[in-house]
Amino acid sequence: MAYSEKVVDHYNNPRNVGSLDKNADAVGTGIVGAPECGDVMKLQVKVSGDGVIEDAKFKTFGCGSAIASSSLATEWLKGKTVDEAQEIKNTEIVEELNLPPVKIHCSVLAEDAIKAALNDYREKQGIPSVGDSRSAV
Amino acid sequence: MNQTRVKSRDTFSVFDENGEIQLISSSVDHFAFFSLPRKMEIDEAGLETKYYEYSRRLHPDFFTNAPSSKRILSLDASARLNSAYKTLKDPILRAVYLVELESGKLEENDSSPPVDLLEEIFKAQEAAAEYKCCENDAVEAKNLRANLEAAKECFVAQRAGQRTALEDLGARWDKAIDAGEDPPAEVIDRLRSVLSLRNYIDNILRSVNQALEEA
Repeated sequence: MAYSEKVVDHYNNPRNVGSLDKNADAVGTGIVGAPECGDVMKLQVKVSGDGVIEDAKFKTFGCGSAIASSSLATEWLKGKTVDEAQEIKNTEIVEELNLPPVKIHCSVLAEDAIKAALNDYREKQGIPSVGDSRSAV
Repeated sequence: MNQTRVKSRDTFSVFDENGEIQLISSSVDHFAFFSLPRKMEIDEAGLETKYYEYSRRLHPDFFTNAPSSKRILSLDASARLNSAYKTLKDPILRAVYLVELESGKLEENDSSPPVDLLEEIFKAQEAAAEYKCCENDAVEAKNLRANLEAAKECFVAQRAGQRTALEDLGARWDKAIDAGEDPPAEVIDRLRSVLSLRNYIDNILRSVNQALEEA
């Protein structure tokens, strides 16, 4: 099975790899894993005072699709408000990266990571958590 | 999730009374295919004997001149034979298969692994990557290597713990089946969580070992 061009691009030139200070109040961190393949993903957002995500970073140890999904997620997160970011769906990632059915769980992982990071941020800010982090396709 | 349980014993035979290959419906699970009880512990030698016996009778090479309907039955049955054997002969794959048969796909498990474990894995992955690709000075490299060795020891111990847990839970599962009961829900839950962790531990050990060997 060949990876789509977009996956290869994100894999070769991943955007926003790195870490933010996970102890900072403005930073939300999500660490999630996929039991099917054992991939692990960390995604972090830094939110400005007016609720806009000004920075996003990720580190993923896993397959090309998992790396591409999280790389793309960080690109999409920047500039969105926390509420807008909450609306990012794994199906949009699937569509953008042309992921085949066997790699859909990589996009689910990225969505889970986004939601976990946003909830971590909310918790630090004393805002109630939102929803269940696992969604179906 | 709660499909009706097909009693595995005496419900299915690969061959009909005339010795012809039967159509294998998807409701026939791997245990039923080999007429084995749905248990964690199985007669592995018996499974192998049966596998070779069926292979000899089902192989598509024996049906090259047969009518196409029979050729297709032989192909289907051989494919099923191979996947059933591959799944059942491996204790871990067998446990995953059996637990999923009883309680649904593991991916549908809502409980993700404990965050502590994920963080531990993450730290070890980062150390492995750093040790592998960066040019560290001697002192730093020595420290990283020591960290990796420690991580390896810790994950090897975790894996051993998981194996022990699987054996204990498997024995409890089988005891229930022998008594004609359903496996206890608590056993199923614990099996599900232990089995969902196995890929994480396998992966991190692979990465750590690779890093230790390459450098």
